[in-house]
Amino acid sequence: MISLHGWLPLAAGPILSATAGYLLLAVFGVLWVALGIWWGRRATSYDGFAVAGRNVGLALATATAVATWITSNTTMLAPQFALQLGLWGALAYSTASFGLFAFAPMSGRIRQLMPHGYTAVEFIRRRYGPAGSIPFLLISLFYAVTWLISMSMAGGKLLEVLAGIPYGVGMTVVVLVCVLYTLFGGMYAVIGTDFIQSIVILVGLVIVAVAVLAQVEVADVHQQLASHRPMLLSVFFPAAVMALFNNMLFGFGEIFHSNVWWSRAFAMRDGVGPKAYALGGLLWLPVPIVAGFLGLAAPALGIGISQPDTVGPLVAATLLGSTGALLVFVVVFCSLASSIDSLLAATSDLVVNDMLEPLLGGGLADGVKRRLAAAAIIALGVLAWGVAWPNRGTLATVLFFAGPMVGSCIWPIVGGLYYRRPGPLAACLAMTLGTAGGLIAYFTIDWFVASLIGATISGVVFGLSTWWLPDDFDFHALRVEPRARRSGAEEAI
Amino acid sequence: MIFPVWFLQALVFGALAICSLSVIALLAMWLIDLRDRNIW
Repeated sequence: MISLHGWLPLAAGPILSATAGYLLLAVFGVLWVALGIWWGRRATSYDGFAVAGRNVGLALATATAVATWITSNTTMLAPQFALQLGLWGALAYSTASFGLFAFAPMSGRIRQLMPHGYTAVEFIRRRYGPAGSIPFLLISLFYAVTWLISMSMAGGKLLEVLAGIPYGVGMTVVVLVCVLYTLFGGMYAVIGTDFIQSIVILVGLVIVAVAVLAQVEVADVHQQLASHRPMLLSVFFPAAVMALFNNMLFGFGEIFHSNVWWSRAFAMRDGVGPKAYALGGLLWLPVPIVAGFLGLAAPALGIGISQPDTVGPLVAATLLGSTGALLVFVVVFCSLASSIDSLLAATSDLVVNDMLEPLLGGGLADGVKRRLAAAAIIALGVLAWGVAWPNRGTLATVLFFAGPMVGSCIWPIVGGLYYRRPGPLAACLAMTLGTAGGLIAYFTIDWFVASLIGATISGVVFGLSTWWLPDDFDFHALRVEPRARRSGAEEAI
Repeated sequence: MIFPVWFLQALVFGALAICSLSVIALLAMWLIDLRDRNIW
């Protein structure tokens, strides 16, 4: 058992040699790209490329929900939350799984209402018209690009901290690998690799946590925290309790609005979505707690952290040496890839279906859409790479800037999916005023109330506007395919 | 007032148990889907 009273000999520099880091990057990079090419053979039509033929079974559907939601932010920010906000911080992060639970019934409704649909923006456009779809598209694009940049930056930071690979080189390789396999395999590659990545992430986390517990007892961690940093164990930690509700609403907003989740709902076989998302929530729920424990253990172990968002990797690597560093490297690399590929695929759907196709007059040929999707994936990769290059801001700052925006989308989406009365004005006002109010709160108060205030303002405005100017939407209009879509033949399975 | 030690232990060990079971569940579902030709 390691003494908790003295300072551990901290790894002053990278724990993994640069050679090992480059080797791991090469192995996983080649593996993902090869799998992308392999699965990409199925994507012979745009339907196959964008929504994997709409026939994904329960195993892959559940795994893709888990892997996509385990971002590098989960494995790197959850320990940071715990380090700064204590036990409530880890619990706050795990409430993001409630979004998956809540989206479970919605995914069935989405599949039922729009059996030929591709994107969330398409739903909003057909449900509310341009008054709703323009602010929603802007929010969706901002969120997707922000998440993509956050993930790219995390990749660069991780490789730098663990293996001493220069930030620019590591970030470039991570983005390049994800762009390549998404480009070759589309949604087939994204969902297929998500299954492997979810297994690797879960197994890696369990091994790291068990290894840490073999050296440090939970009771010792508790005792040290109670003596030296009791606030981290405090039942009454106002900022942390606010963070819990804020994070839960951020999670609802992220999942309800993001095309990452809608495109999966369209891709899953009829009837699979609700089960897959509910199971995905259950499987995801403990991950931030396990990761957060690494953060809680840091002060008890006397591990000094210069960059809070790398506390998880540093704890594992300091306690377990190169084996821990290697495991964390693999876990976070998989977390990064499973989110970056999803964002690339889902956002390219937005660009093709909700920007280019309407601009070009609609009814694009299957092959044209397929090529446009490939171009969009490359363009998004270049954009993320370019903005992530200067390495400005911490992960939390970048991520939570989008919180109030997506929080303000919750009510227009739920109301639009289930009720006839909400109209375009209600949706437009709820999204714009909710976003404005949430952003003011972000800058004048703090990040941990921004989503809460944005979602509250949005809900009040949405309810009042619907009461003042009710609509009478016909849901059957969504079932009809909006325009003739030439579909290519799907390769037989 | 701070969280008791048993709460932290229950949380950490409970979360670890669910993570371990998740791996088994995912592999079992994959095998069932493979048997029924329901992967894609």
